[in-house]
Amino acid sequence: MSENKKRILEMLEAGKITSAEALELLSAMEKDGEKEKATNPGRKIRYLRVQVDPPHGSAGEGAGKVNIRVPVTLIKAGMKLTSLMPESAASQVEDALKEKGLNINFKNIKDADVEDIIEALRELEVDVDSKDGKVRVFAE
Amino acid sequence: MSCPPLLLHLRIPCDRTHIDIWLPWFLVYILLIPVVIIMLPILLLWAIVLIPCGKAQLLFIAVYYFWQVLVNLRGLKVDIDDGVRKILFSFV
Repeated sequence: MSENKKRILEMLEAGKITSAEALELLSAMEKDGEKEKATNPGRKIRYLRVQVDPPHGSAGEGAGKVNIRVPVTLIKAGMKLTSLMPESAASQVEDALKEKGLNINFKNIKDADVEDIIEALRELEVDVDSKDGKVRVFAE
Repeated sequence: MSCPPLLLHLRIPCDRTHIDIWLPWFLVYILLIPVVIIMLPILLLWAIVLIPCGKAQLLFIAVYYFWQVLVNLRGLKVDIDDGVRKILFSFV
């Protein structure tokens, strides 16, 4: 039981507040708790995982198995490093990515954007199951 | 601040088998200390030279970001197994 709830019940027991007031205080506390949960949802991601499993019955045990775990903090640090990229190198990388259909401007990536991207990873889950194998990309 | 990696686990394919090696990664930091001590005056001089162009701050930011990458390597794991060869590197 939280300290605040205990205090409310003690006040009720001592007759300092009525049961209706106690109920009101408890419901207000619950509302605050829910608000906090909505703005800061519990699970904190630590790693980005990429798992590739071979199809069932493939030759050789564990053939074509890939297991990659990247710490989110490393992604964050790496993305911050891109801000130090020289103009010419950045434009070359951007051109190469554009050819692949990715339109990213490294110079426009701010710290807040990095935080948003990391936050968005929480919801990321790619699960591809085909005859060639199983690929999973997720955050944990 | 997170704890930097202390060990590096490597699995290298060798003929038809593989070798597991645990490298004392913490030695890298010990080796880095004299390099940093030697580089610090050069870095400071370079920063002074760069002050007029306003890029001195960038130099220190770069050092900080590289340090951040090094420190946050802990937990990085790449494990590839193609059935014949197994390759692994993991920072612990």
